[in-house]
Amino acid sequence: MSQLLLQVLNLQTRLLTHRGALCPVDGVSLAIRRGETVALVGESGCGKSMTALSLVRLVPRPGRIVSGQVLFDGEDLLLKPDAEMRRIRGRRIGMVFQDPLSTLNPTLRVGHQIEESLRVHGVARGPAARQRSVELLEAMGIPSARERLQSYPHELSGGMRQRVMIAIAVSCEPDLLIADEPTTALDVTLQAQIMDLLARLKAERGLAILLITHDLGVVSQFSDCVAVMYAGQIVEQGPTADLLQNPRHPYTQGLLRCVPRLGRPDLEILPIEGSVPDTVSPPPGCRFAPRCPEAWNRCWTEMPALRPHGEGRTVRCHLYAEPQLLAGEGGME
Amino acid sequence: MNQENALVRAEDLTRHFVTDLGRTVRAVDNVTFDVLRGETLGLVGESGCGKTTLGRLLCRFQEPTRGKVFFDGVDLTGLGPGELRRFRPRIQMIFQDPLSSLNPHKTAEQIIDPPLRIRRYGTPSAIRDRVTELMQLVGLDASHAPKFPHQFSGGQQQRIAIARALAAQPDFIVADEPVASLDVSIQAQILSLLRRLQKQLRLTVLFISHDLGVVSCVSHRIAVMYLGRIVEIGPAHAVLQRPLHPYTRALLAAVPQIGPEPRSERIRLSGDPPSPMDVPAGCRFHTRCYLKLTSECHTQEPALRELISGHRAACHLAEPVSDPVRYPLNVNGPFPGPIS
Amino acid sequence: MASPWVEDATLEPTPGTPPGTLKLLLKNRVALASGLVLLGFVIVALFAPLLAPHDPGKQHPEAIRASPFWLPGGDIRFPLGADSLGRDLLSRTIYGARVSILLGVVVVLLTLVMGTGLGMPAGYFGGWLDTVLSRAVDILLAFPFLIFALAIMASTGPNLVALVSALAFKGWVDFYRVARADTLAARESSYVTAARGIGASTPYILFREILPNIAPPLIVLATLRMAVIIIAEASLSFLGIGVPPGIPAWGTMVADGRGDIAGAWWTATIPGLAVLGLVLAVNLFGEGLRDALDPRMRR
Repeated sequence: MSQLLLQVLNLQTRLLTHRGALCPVDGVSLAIRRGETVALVGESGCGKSMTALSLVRLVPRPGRIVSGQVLFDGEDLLLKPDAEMRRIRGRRIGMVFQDPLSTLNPTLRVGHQIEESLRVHGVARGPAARQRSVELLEAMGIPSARERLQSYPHELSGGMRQRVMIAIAVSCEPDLLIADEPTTALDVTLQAQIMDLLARLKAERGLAILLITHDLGVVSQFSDCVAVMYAGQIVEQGPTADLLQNPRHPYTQGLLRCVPRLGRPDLEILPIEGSVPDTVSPPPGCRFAPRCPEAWNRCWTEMPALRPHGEGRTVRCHLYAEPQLLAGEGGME
Repeated sequence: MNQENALVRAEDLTRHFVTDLGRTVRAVDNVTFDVLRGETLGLVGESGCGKTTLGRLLCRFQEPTRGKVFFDGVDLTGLGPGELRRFRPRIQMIFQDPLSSLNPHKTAEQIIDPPLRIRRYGTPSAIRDRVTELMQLVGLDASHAPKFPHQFSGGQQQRIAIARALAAQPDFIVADEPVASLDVSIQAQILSLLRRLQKQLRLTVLFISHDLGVVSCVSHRIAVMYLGRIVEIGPAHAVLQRPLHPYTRALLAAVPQIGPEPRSERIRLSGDPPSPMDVPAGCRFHTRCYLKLTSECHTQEPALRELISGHRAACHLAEPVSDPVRYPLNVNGPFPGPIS
Repeated sequence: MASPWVEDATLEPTPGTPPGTLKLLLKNRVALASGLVLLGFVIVALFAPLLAPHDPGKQHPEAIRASPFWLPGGDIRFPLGADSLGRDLLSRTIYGARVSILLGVVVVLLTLVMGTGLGMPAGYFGGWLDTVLSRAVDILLAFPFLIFALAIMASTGPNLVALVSALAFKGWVDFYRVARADTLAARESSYVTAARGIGASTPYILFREILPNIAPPLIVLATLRMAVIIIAEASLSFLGIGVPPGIPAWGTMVADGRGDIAGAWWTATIPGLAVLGLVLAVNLFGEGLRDALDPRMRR
């Protein structure tokens, strides 16, 4: 059994709008090993949620996956028939979304929804399913689990609803959990509880997690590896501690500089200046060039490729293609 | 606390709602505090703590059930609608969702100029010039004045809202989660802008947010709210580094930081926060408190008392803390840091 | 659509001033077509005396139940045929447009103003005003329209003012409900709070902040109500309690032609189609108008 659970190669998803074709996922490549947590981080509109949806082929119309491979345990998910994808979703890949109030069916009791997941994937039914549901809720740290099964989603608090969502997602013991902004809608103390829960699940079940978030703090505390997205592309990737300590790409550097730090309230937060590329007709060169303080001639004309730079690190930036540029000789062409 | 120094003063401010089912929601419960002239007071708390309601009470968008609000020494709660309207321009609010705080049927110019027109600022062309000035002040290109809100990005919409507030020439601004719906890099821009404007125009600001990080970089003092009461208030660095109240400590411990763990303490609150309809007896935090409780905690509501000069907390067990909270600091790398 | 990407203050917002309502309307083909049809009806109604080949009330004994010109036995002098009294159908249809459109417009305007004028204060101030009005509306809704209309028309005899009153009596309720609900929602919005924060007076808030926002759904409702009123009038005329007998109205014409459905079917069908055409045009145009009025649709 290979260590590599998920390997995404050059995934491209296109969205056809009346203004033209948008490419929210533009050549994204990712790798997740068993038991590993990979964070996909970026601001709104960078394409991270669309990437997650593309992995499990849940891209909403008018979007379509146009090229690339999604190798899950060696098999390309993009080539599988729909019926088989349905069996994989939930059973081998669990999903947790941002807003549990809208992803849980408001007219069904919570217990029913958990049991439904177990039943559909043939894991358990009837009284066995009910027992499993109780155990799951208890594992999620929900008190009075048996009574809670009878509740409707709106009767539960936000934190509890999210725990129910996670319970459903891990009910069939998947290998991979995709969590799309699981704590964004929650208060910070609840966020801490949920992240602790996910950490515990990861340790107990060897769960691999793809964590989609915009919060660099969450990334830092929780993930093993991180990929930074901008304008549909991955601009930097690597082990979390190293990347956050030594960011290479100017966008990552800019992001880190503009996040307020509790420990250093005196620190000047520095906004990222400049404008953002039009997604329908992006400029020919690097998409971050208009906002990059280090941009030089080549950045405007040629799109940099994602290249390795250091231990397990990749960067999409011309600055790192030419070693001598780092010495500050850029812009001399 | 020096009374003359306070631009805004809340005294025993209380706001209770009664729901259709007859339950009482104690949104704000006996809050007394000052906002000093020229300062930014950060008001922090999680959802349901009453911070938004408190902001609205100070702006007199809602009537308090009990208590008073003083503005520049004048008791606002006693004023009738006509007299109150004279004070309105001096107290302005910036809302959380910029798109819904701007009238979708009005252009940016039409949104910014009403405070000028109501004040009879001058001729139409003088007003137009002032609108241009204000737009530039908040960092917007004045040529975009005839556009509608939905044509602007979130950050730009919030700038329009700020320009509108400034058009009234306020002394006091209540910013209710002004950056919560914005991306991190835009958030940084708006926070920078607010800091600059505050210094330039000598504004007094109440900055309401659930995000401690955001509050920490704009506030001179910070107040922490829990279930309708202020549980801690003091200078920003003191509250962040030597928090007195256990809830504040738990809040700080819950914020995920960039950098290696561990911090000096790891606290996790259990369970969900109680509802403002079911406020626990005694200290309202005691049901989730991780400290060893005494009988006083179960029965008596603690008062906000000054433990260190200028730093108050409402806790029976609080003591001045000697060793500060340690935050992960990047001692090796160049980050975080300003571009040289 | 504001770009979903991370942005800066200097970024160009969606370029250009958005197109005005008229331009948007023109771009919508369905709205354009129905608008032209509507315009056609209005022109026909206005210029009826010039367009109608004959006096609508004049009976031509030689043309009793004459067929439309394209059928055998048809006569080009009476292009759409004639009714059982020998009156030219084309002329009567043309004149009938006047009644329908005029009544439609008058009644709708009346009910629009009434409904909005009562709904806005009810929504904004709430309290006893809202309670009293809403109960009144509930009671009003309990009245079946037809019976009420019958009662009015029977007691006063057929006359236009009574007809307008009958049609308007319950008609304002829809406007009241929409105006009240939308005003209630707007009252809670941040931009109204911000307006209060600036020190705006209540009339300012009602007319300059709230009214422009609640106007689009009201305008659309107006066009839909117009369609309803036209049909209501036609129904009342059909029953004989609508327009006074001397005035040509489509409803009356359908009633008159009812007996001839088997033979001279055109006497009932032509006016029926006229009602259909006008109502359809009004509805489609109304939808196009709603889309054009929404500033969010202005790309």
